[in-house]
Amino acid sequence: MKPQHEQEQIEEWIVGIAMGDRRAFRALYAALSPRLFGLACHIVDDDGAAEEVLEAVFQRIWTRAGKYRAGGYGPLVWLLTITQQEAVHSLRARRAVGQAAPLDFDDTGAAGAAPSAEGQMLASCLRELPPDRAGMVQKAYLQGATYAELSAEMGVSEQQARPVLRRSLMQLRECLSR
Amino acid sequence: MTQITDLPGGPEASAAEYALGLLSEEDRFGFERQLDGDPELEQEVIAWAGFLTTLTETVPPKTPPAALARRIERAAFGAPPPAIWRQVLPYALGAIAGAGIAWLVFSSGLLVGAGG
Repeated sequence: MKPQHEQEQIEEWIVGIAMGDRRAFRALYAALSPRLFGLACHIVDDDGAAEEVLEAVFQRIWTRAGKYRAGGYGPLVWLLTITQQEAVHSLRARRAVGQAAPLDFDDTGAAGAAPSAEGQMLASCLRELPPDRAGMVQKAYLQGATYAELSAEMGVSEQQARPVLRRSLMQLRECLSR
Repeated sequence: MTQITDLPGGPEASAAEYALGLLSEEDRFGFERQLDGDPELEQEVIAWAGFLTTLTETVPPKTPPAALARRIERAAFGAPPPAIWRQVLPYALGAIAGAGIAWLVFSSGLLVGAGG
């Protein structure tokens, strides 16, 4: 499927789901569940927990599709963002009770080249940041890192770490808007 | 607590923190209230979300187990309608019972006795 057509198709399904169309829900699940489940598995690193994440994700899709248009997100970005949020929520909860391994700073994650233009732009702008800061952006997004964990890794207090990372995020924003 | 306004980057940096899931619960609620009447700030968050989701492009897809689809549909749609044989079962049982009674009546000669 071509990207543009794919986006339009996903949007059509979301609009259908907003009207309670079960076929649209099934079609969206059939087409997107491997991508969303793959992301959930990658973040939570546990198949059982990832299944619960996917359940929560599709529950949110079913109940909130009506509000999708007002949100202003692209259809795929909306789905991926919901999945990322639910997965990080689950991972942090499991970490808090010792069911998930603590954050591993040596794990640099999947570092393949992103195929989209936006992905390449982000990658090149991340390369302009000090390497540890770029890693922190990825760790927060894909490994659920919190300020507490990031500051511990930097060897400073949270109050010190936050302004440092915020400055890097502004530098990143500046590069992305060029 | 440190006020967001005291921190470098202002609301724009908070939009990035929000999209990254770095805000504490308290700051997140505060930021969402701020988002409500500020379309420009909303656009910041949407733009960050768009860039950040590209970090997932290299994550390999994985097909979820088939049973999960059924669980998800049950949760979304409610319990499925009962299977067709379960819907007709009461009628089938009624028919069998009726036939049984008829057979009893004829075979025992009850009707003959009543008539004679």
